[in-house]
Amino acid sequence: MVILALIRLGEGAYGVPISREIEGRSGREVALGSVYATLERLEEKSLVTSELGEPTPERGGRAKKYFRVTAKGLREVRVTQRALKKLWHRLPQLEGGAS
Amino acid sequence: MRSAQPPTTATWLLEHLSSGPSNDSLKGDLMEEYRSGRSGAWYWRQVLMTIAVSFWKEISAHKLLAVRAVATGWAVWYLYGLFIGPWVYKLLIPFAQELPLAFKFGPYSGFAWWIIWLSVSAAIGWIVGRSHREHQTAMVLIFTASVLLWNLRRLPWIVSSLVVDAIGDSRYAPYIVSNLASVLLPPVCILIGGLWNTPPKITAPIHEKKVAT
Repeated sequence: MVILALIRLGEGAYGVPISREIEGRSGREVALGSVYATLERLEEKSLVTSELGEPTPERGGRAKKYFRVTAKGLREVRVTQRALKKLWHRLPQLEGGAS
Repeated sequence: MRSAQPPTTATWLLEHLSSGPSNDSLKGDLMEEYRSGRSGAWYWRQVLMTIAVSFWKEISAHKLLAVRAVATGWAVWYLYGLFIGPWVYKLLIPFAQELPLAFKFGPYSGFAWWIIWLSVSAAIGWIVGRSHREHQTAMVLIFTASVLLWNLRRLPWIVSSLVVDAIGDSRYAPYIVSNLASVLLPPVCILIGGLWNTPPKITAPIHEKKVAT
């Protein structure tokens, strides 16, 4: 979910818009701590990169950390998407709308 | 009127109990969200979840160290109880008998007993913290959690026996307070001793690139 939110947001994605994007799509409150933990794990795997912005007074003098999906990250998302499509395909229990 | 500053206690807890390379930015995000209209309850929830995530991440990455921290704390406690505790209480009894008995609990009574017991808890927390400086917060927290879990074993008895007695006779109410305090105060003192003098976490890694926004 975090990486998909990053792709949707494109440039200028940092903690607040990422968590809002996930909240908006899932309808559930998101813990910023979990979002950052996931982003750090993705960064360790070189699936995303980060850059620090300038500190601003409205953030208590703390800098924003901007995240971006790497080419490797995009490849991984495509692989996962294909795998998920295959898994979703022909599931009779899920066909025919909500029940 | 609502303050522009988020709840101070929550911020202090966040600064002292959570760690990670993005901690500074995370704190900035929380402040930005709070100032854009999120509630104090939302801020508290986020802080507590952040601490839990950070704690879990650190403990999962250093399982052996966590076992060592818990073992160190309990070993020091055991050794204290075996060699030092009896002498301290022997010396204490004449003074303890002169002190108020409002918080009567255990074989020795009075405030002096409480002061020593809680000081020992803080000292053990300090030892655990000092012997695990690399991951001090997480190690002190895991030891504190182990003590709290151990103490909580008495909770069913407190509820089933003392609370029932107190409903029938209000004179039993102070015993509930003293027993609950004996469950909760030692872990609190371990936490205070263990995190004593720890500076707020250094968060932003120095290799990060700075870009203008």
